Amino acid sequence: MEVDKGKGEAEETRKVAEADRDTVTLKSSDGKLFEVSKEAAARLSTVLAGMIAGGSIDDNGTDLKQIGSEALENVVDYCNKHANSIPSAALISSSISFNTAPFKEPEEWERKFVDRLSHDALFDLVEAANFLGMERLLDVTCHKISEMMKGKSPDQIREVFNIKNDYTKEELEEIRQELAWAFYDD
Amino acid sequence: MAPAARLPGSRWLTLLASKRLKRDTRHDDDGVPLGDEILLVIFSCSLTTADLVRCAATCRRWRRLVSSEAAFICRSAPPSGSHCSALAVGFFDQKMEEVNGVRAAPRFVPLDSCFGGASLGALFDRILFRSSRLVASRKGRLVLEIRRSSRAAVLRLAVCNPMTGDVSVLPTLSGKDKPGQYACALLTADDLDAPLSGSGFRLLVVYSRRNFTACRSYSSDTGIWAPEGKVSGARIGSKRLGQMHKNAAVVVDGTVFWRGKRVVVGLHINTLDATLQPLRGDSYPCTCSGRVSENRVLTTSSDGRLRMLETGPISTNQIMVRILFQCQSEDWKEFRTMYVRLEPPLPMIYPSKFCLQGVCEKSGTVFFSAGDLELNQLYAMNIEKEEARLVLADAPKNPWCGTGAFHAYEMDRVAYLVSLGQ
Repeated sequence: MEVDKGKGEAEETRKVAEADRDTVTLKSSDGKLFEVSKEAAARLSTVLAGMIAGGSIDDNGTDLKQIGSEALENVVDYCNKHANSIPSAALISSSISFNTAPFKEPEEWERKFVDRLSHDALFDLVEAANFLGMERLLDVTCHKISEMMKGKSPDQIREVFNIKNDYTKEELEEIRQELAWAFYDD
Repeated sequence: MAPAARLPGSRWLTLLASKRLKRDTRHDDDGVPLGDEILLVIFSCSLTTADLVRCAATCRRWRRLVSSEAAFICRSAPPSGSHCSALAVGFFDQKMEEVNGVRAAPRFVPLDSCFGGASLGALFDRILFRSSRLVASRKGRLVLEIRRSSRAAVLRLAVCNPMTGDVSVLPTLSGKDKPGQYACALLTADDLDAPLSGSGFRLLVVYSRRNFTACRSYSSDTGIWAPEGKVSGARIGSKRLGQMHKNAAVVVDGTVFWRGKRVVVGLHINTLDATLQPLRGDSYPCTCSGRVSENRVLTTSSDGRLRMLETGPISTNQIMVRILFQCQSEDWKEFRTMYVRLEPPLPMIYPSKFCLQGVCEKSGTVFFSAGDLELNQLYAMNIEKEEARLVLADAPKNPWCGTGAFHAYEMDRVAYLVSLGQ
């Protein structure tokens, strides 16, 4: 009797533990599964926080059809790194009041994190961050991308961002003349 | 209301405006894998105005975004960096004397002669502004005192942006609410820590009551004057308010600064705590108005710190410009001195008169006049480029000195970026 009761309790505990797992599983558009700390996901992504609170997390992998596996891997990587780094109070407050608070400079590890990404990976990551409502990651990636524009000529920007120039030759000549200050000032 | 003016040298802009822009919220098929929303967040990440102009020059979609969402892009304080000379437009001045009880409208003089800038002054053709007096110019906006001679016991102020044509007439301050001599300061979103809509402004008015100094402010967001507040820390008398009234205000770290005679007056916007800091030493004296006054003006550095400029003539083709900063003991120390060449040089052997007229803080443009009893020339100098160019070859003999009638004018960053799409 004593033993049976103990067994039943253990079973109960196991079930509770499953529902209370401290990770969530996310599934990319191409079907790959990624596990991420539930606490970090809820803290860093408003969308995931909403899904966790609303119980719409699938233990077999929550479908994120808009996000490819490479971008999702980076998202998860970011969450895990963030969970391991000691978040400063400034960081947390900046992610809450994203629309009004001035941008807080990326921390060293965040800088390294985005610096190693290819342009395409960075563009996919910024879209994923936007989709998941990850304001801090959106800030950090947007900041990185804006640095790719700084001090560059329009030609260089077009090259980096693969922009199709849809101005006519005459228009470009006009632009160069009328806005010369911006082209040669610095 | 239709824009009162186009931008200096806006030929290519006008040309492009005739071709209809695509209105899609997403890609104008420019090949960039980023949506509008994200691009806008990127654009608002500490890019300089020059960076944004170059982005706008890459393709139509980016130009449309920079122009149509300029207020969003500029919602956070503009980045520190260099002054943006392209914002400088010119100056407004006004004759002080009245003819048959009517004061002539302010006149606009553009910096760039090819700019059909006469239209900026067209705003004053409106009957509303008849006999009005130009009081201040800051961040692309003008403050005007609208005069209604029949009712002298009221103060009616208007704030307008001549680039966009926006006019706000503020509620009248009358009866016991009417300030006597006052000094004012126009504040925009990046001067304040409290949120203010993108194109919104606040107007702060300081004046003297019988036993105290008072201050009240109008916010374009609420459309009303806040109740009168009491200024603490220092008394500012009418005489000093009169001096402050003639000099442009600058705002640094939540404090408004005005220059008075041998003093810098500071007023904290939130606490209304006032400070009076004596100005020691002598600047090169200005004698235009018959009385000796200081050739000193307050401005801000490109990274938003308080600075003071002192100027004086060196020779027929050179002037001295000294930039001072305030050290902790509240004394002003030299930050940098530069010798700026006049292009073209003055026609006289040595200017006996020299007068610092005003500064545009964002573009780093300094206006000064130099001359003798016969002739006065007005120059505009760019702090970054360290060059001074002639603006008016025959300025009035005794022009604006000591009258508060000269108002340097520059666009605000939002108006400039919006104009890229026009």
